[in-house]
Amino acid sequence: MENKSILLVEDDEDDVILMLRALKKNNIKNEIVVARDGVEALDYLFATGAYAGRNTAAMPAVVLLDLHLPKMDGIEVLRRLRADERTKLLAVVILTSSNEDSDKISGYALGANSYVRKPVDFNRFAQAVAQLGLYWLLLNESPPRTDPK
Amino acid sequence: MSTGLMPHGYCLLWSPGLLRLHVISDALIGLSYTTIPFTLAYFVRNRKDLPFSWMFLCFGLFIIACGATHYMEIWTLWVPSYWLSGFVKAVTAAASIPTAYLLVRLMPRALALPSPEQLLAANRKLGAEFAQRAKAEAKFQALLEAAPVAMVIVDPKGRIVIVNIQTEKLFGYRREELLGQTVEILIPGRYRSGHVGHRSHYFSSPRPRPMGAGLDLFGRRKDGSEFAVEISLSPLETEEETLVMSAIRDTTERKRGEDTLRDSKTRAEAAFEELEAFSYSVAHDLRAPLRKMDGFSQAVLDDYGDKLGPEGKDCLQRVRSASQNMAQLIDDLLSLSRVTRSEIHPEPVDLSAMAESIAADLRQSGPGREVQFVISPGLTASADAQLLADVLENLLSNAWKFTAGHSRARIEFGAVELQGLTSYFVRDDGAGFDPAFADKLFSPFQRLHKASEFPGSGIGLATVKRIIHRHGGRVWAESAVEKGAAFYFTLQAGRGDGGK
Repeated sequence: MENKSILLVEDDEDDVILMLRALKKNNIKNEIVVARDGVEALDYLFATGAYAGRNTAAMPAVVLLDLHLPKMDGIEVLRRLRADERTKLLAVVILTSSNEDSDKISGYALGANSYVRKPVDFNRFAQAVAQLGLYWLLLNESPPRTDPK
Repeated sequence: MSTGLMPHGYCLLWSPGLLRLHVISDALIGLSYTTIPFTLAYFVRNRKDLPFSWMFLCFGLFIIACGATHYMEIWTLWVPSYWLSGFVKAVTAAASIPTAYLLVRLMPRALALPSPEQLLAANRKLGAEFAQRAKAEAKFQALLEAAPVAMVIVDPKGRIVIVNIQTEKLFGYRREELLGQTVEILIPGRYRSGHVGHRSHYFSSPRPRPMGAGLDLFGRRKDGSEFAVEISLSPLETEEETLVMSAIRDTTERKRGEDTLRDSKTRAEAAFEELEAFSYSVAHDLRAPLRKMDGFSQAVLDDYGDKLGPEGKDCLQRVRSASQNMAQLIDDLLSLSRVTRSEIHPEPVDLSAMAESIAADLRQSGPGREVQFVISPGLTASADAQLLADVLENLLSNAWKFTAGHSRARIEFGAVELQGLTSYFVRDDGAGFDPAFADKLFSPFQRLHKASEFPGSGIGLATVKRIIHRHGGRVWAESAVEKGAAFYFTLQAGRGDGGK
């Protein structure tokens, strides 16, 4: 389990801190990569820009994706992920404040694996993050790696 | 002269008395017979309209000849010119026979001549008809004058024949200025040539119809200003020709009204879109700070709880509660606004099944409680399924909540007929409320109980009311303190968006 990582795509500094605390509180010690916006997230996943040279074979076990991002919003990131062979099957959980039906529909239509609304109550929030982490890291069988030829 | 014949005086034995009698009589007759024809001639000349004037001439000739014979009687008393007198008689005979014959031939026609009474009666009748016709025309003109729109009647050559006072007012002309003019005088210059063609087209198949369907029409006043009009045409048959009657209405006001309406609609749509966008940002942006307030308060509790002491911890807990409260309020407000924004999709809904399902969930949420649910089976209605579910969810969970203080509770869902309408109700035997404050019940954020007694944001019933109103129904409640409460609602099937 330890070599699986989690990619957190979140621009809000406070939310990042809270989420890291939540994961730590629940003893999740895996590597957590934080991308502050959509461009950074894609750079990381496709090993471009600041992350050029990263081993793309090592994809995170799950991407926790916020919708409300600067430069490129979460839906657009999702679209690009699903459009690329390397990340088409990547587990993406939309973790956001929005409960609007339109966002849910777009998210699911574009192939998000899950849609979770961030609860205001921190304990419940921490619990949610932990449950997600545990599920995707432990229980879920990741799709087999397709090494680029 | 003396042919051996004796003058008539001898027959009379030259008796002076007899002679005098015959001479005077014959003279008078002759005189009369001579003047009568002149009188007749005078009559004929002065009544040239007489149909049988030639008859009178015949008579005249005949009478003159007759007179002549009487003069001859006087003459032949002394002079025996019996050939002459016989000849005059022959002439008279020649005049009299045809006259008599022609008179007989004339009789039928003469008899057919209308008597003076008949002529007078015929005259009177004509006079009456004429008066009636004049009345009808006056009535027609009065109708035209009384018409609320401008009426312009035009002949096949396009000349204005009749107008009414509205035309004068609308176009700013006196009617003398319009009568006899071509109707194009009332149209802006740029349309005039085209209109002439349209006119003849209309006359080729005249029927009642609006003019220029689908086009914007304009009239031109005397002062040159233009204004929008709406025109209806219809043919008017007279004995001589077909005229066209046009009714002209100024549509400036109506167009202004339509423009205003369109503007209002655009503004309303824009406002609606703004509301949608606002709700979306409310969902996202207002909740985020709350999450952080709660999260970091918890962080302090986690990391420094042992240093805080019970009061410190209590303060932070209250901060957390307040944040969560506010989040709930935001959610409730959002769902209230969603009800207003969303469209109603009516379909047949099984209310009893819905209630059963909600009751089952409630039972599961509090397994320790003894609550009897009495749900009438088979209650259906035509309504939006999701929104009705929200209504029942709200009413039933309220009933559940407000019976929590009692060890046993009874919650009913059913329907009654009230004033011809099916009224559904949720009744409980719980805490109830003071009916004096019943009207506050359905206002947002109004609560009739302390939050410590019964939790809740107070917005649930406002949502229920809005949903029911959008279905065109009514919602109301009856209660007494500690005697339970009953919440009723009706649904007007098919009326849809009946309320605010």
